[in-house]
Amino acid sequence: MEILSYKKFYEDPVKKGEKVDDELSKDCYNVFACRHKFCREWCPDYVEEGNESYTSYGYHTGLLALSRGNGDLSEMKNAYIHCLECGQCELKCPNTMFGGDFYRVTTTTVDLVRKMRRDLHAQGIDYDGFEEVQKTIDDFKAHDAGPDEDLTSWAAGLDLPFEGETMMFVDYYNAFQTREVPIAAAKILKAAGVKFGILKHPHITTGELYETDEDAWVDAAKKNVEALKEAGAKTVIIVNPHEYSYFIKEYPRYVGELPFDVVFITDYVNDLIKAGTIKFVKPYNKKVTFHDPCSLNKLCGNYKAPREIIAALPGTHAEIEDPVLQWKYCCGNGVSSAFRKALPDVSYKIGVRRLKHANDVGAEVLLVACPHCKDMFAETKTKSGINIEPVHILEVVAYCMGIEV
Amino acid sequence: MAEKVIKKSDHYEVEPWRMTGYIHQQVMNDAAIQKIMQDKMMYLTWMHKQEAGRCLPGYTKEELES
Repeated sequence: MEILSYKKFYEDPVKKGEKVDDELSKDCYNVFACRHKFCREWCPDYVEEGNESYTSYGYHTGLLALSRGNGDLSEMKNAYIHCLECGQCELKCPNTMFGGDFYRVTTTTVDLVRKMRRDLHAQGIDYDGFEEVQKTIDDFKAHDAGPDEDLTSWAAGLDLPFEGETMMFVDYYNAFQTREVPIAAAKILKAAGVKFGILKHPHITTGELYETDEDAWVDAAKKNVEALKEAGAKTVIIVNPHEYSYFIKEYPRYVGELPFDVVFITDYVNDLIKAGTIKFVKPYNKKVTFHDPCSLNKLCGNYKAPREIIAALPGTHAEIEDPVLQWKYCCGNGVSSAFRKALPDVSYKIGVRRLKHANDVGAEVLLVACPHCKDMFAETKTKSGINIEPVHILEVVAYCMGIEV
Repeated sequence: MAEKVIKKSDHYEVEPWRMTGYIHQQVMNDAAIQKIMQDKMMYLTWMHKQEAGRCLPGYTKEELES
């Protein structure tokens, strides 16, 4: 299922001292003219910071002001980094929710933020803290240029082929920083008898690169699609929801229709549970709640499978909220980790709010379906002392199957 | 209905020629349309659940007169 929704005129860069494109100016006016402000109510950054400049309304209004000759591009230096790219504002905006399907015109804040970060970077106007983000990009580029063995070292001993009709795509973050997640995924699929392979050399997918050097990111996207096609993929299972959103929302924009189906790991595992292929042998006697990854719930509208998996776990007492309520939460990492790196204090406050909420519903374990959420919550838990354990849902599935991860 | 609209798979769309003057339509496929419809129904259902189960009391006589 590829979700295509974008504005072509975003491709024209906003340049210092030059007139802002008329289409972009009118598009910004559409949000400026709104008085509902639904975008800010649940914006995790606005809830913590209370600064309207850092909301969808603020971003569009600032750009509109620029187009009318009020202000300078460099004044926006530190504005766009305040967006988590979670997508809450654009899906809750009346322009999208109550008119988008009728007019085929929606509010596209995430795209605008990515575009503006790119345009500002191209003119040497980088937000405070960009060095940390650039360091991550450089590290990931070094992985891409490094030996193939490093990229698949997480799978050592799993004996996975580099081809197959079903392929599992593992991004660099999972491959190097949260290895337990792809390892759990691979062991679950193997135990269920699924024949699948992995790419010998997956290319860079990180969002930080996408909003800094679009051409390099697109080049890597094309290589990934080509490599998966050459490996014989008919179904590609994605383990990281950030990459899932890139594959189904961004890749088709640049590569065209994908020559394979893209499935998120929780959907795939849920189907195996329903088919009786996955059997649980151990109970997980914990009180749990679930945190929807922004990239899965808000950006892709995918929220059912994790809930069905948790309902099927033996012994688990689950207190799980409506996915709509979770539109207002984020772990604090953001879909591009640039937010967390540049604004660690705000990021922490957003994480604390979510952990406290999980505590309020009486859970002892916060299940997640995203490696970034897991990492962010683990850090927030340590710093804040809030006694709730973030655990990836795949680790629990593996545990109940009696698999050692 | 005053405007002519196109009815497609359970939802209405404006005729595209009406979107060629001031604001232009963006690139959007059917899956994106379906997602908007899904989000809308989820949100309205959620809102309904929040509000439909209770009725806010009006002012008491004493409050009105105070």
